[in-house]
Amino acid sequence: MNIITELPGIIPVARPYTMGQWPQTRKKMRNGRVARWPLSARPTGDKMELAWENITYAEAEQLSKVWDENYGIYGRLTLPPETLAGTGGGLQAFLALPFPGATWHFVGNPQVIAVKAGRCTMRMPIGVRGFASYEE
Amino acid sequence: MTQRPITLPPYTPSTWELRLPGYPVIVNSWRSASFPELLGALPSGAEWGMTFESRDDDEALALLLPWRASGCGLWPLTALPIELAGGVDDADFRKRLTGTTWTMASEPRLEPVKNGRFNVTIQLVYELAFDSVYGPGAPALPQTRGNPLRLNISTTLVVAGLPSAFLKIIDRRSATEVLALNLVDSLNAIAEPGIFQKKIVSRPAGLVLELGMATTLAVVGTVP
Repeated sequence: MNIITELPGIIPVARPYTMGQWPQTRKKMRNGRVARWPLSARPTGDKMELAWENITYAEAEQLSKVWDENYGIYGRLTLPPETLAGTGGGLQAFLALPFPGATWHFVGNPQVIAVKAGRCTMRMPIGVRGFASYEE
Repeated sequence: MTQRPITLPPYTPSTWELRLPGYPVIVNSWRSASFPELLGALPSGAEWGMTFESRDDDEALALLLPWRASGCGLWPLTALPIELAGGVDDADFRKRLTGTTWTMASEPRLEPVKNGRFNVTIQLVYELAFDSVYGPGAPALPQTRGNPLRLNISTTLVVAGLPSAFLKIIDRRSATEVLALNLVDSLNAIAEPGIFQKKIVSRPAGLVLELGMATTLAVVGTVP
């Protein structure tokens, strides 16, 4: 089952991004040196936490529906330009696709926090998953 | 099975926080590639925490009592008043909140803020396994059958001047069978009927996940 959903075009107020790492194995030698071997030609584990503040509950429902349609962390996400608003050029292209074959997906359950009547805050942790292929 | 309504009073919480339910997914990883596997289509594990600020004595009590009525979190709340989702102006999102069969996840917390005013914090949880076992409503537990539970008095606590006994029931049958036993009868078998205030610490949803493994139920009894 191949599920790909696009996030609604609601501009987040915060979008901290943490780069991933290259899959590698390490071994400490008897002389104290550490040897490392790369296990893949692609990095993995990039993370981004999207945060929307003071949005309406209708917008929160739109964002929540994406979580449901994706069966939580199962499906993949595509990020519309609005999600990456504020970035431009190469950075926006990089965040949308950190490496060839990468796909964004949820890495944790979204949270909704009531702010006041009719307004809420939503946090949505997403991450990069390597393309599901055995070809390395 | 008898059913009695268990619900929260129709107050609007001052603040609340919702964690959307997860789906049963296993992610197998090999190097940088991931292979998610979907095990079911039904979500579970939503959490809804809410705080009612500056409530008077009667309101605070009304918020505390559903914990006991629900068997200390054993049975789900049968219906939630629409007021709990006060301020949510989107019908679909309101349905997410009040249309779900919630269970009280932990003891309500009462915090005095000033003379005669209290903050009450309530944590609700939605777990699929709970519904699949009982459905909404508080069932009457069936009579004890099969082998009696083995009881161990593991420690003794003194709380507020009253001696309390902490009992641990260990049963290696499946969690479903353990839940079907009448815990009330089991406890009364070792003491005079009615002497214990029962409180099941491990909730059924957590136990169901342990099917086929050694199952532990913890029961706290208060000796008058």
